[in-house]
Amino acid sequence: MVEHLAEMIIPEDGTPGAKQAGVAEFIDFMVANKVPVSTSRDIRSTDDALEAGSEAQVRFVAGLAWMNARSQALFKTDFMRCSSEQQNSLLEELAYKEKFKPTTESGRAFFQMMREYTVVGFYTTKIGLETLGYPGLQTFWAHMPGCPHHDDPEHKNLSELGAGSNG
Amino acid sequence: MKLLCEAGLQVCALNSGPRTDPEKDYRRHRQVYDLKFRGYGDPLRLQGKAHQEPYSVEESEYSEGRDLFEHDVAYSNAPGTDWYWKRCKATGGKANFWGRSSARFGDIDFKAADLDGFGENWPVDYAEISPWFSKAERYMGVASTVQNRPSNPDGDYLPPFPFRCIDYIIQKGAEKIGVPYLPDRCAQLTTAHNGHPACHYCGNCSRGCDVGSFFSPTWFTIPEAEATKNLTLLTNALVREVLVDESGMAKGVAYIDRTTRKEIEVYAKVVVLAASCVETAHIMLNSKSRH
Repeated sequence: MVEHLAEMIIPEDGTPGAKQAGVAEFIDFMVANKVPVSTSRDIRSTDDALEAGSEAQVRFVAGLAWMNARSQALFKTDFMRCSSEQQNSLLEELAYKEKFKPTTESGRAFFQMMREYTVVGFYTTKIGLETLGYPGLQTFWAHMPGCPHHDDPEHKNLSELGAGSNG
Repeated sequence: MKLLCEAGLQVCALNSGPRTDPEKDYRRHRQVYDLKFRGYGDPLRLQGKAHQEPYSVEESEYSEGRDLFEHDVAYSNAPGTDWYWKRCKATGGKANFWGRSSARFGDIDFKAADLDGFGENWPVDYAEISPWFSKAERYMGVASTVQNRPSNPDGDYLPPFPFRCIDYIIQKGAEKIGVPYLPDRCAQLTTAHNGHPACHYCGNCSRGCDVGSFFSPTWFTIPEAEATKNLTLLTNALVREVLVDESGMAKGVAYIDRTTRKEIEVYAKVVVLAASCVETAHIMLNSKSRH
């Protein structure tokens, strides 16, 4: 189920998705080992880390149960047995502010957590970083890749992603 | 230390930590997906240690292995304060990971008391020290540009790092409010220098340079001092106090060997304390003699 949720958050659509990047195994590993991933807490000691990690573990497992309970309430069946339209509508209610329904606060908190784990798990894999065109994958540069926009020092004409990559 | 050895003096250097080994202790170009916890680190890594707080940046899962940073000895802060003290106990110390900003002092610093009326002037001025700055820069390899600003005097520099996009953007904005945006004096090699390779921009500087492309004792001064055979480098030697003779002059130091827990005394004609800001003061405070 974790794998399916991860793939719904970062699907394969031209570029590899969460399933291919092994995000589910990552999430299993991090939750099982109580490694806190959220940046909302300042971790200043082993005790802090253990507390944050244990809390994450409890909330994550409870969140998965919540998803099934919600899916039972809405569609009379477990989440994984719903159709993809049903799964999507359930998830969208948790993800998008305009679609928030009352009494789903813990589901929304779980979704935030799931999304955080998925994004972290995906963009710390080689596959994920490649989809971004992350320059840091190359560890040897013969010359420093300085600014390539010599005719636009104020960078007024930068487009979203492509123009920023190193030529 | 290196200069003294090269001049022929017998030098004993004491370091409170182990010998830094770039092969084992640095990041070695590992990527985030090579790490077991993807950069978040094992939450149990510091379990049981006296000092619990993990240090940022320099100490991370990327260079996990031996603990070059001090966690076995806790420190306390004055009540109501929260001071964060990074202690690297290994040869080279924090200079293994330092920021490499190496600007010269100018007379604005040496003669600051003349300018603002506080404190004392230095007993030297820029004209006197300038050749020594040059000597240091030629040895270390510092990359920057000529800027003609007396508050940050120019030195003998290697070619500067090219500006990135963000640098030009900020520079253009800063120009509009009359603020110069200039390259820093960075002790990093843009060209090969004195046998050290030029930087290859892997971005691992704060976790130790694997090839020695910026000035650090581990790559520059320690190997050269050792080559003279005049250096005795004692590691895991925590200096406890400076010893004085009957007339109150320093005659050596007493240190504790961290591996055997024995206290050992070392005698010398001259004692130099260079233990990092707080630790030097610490040693001096512990060295009160009857004089």
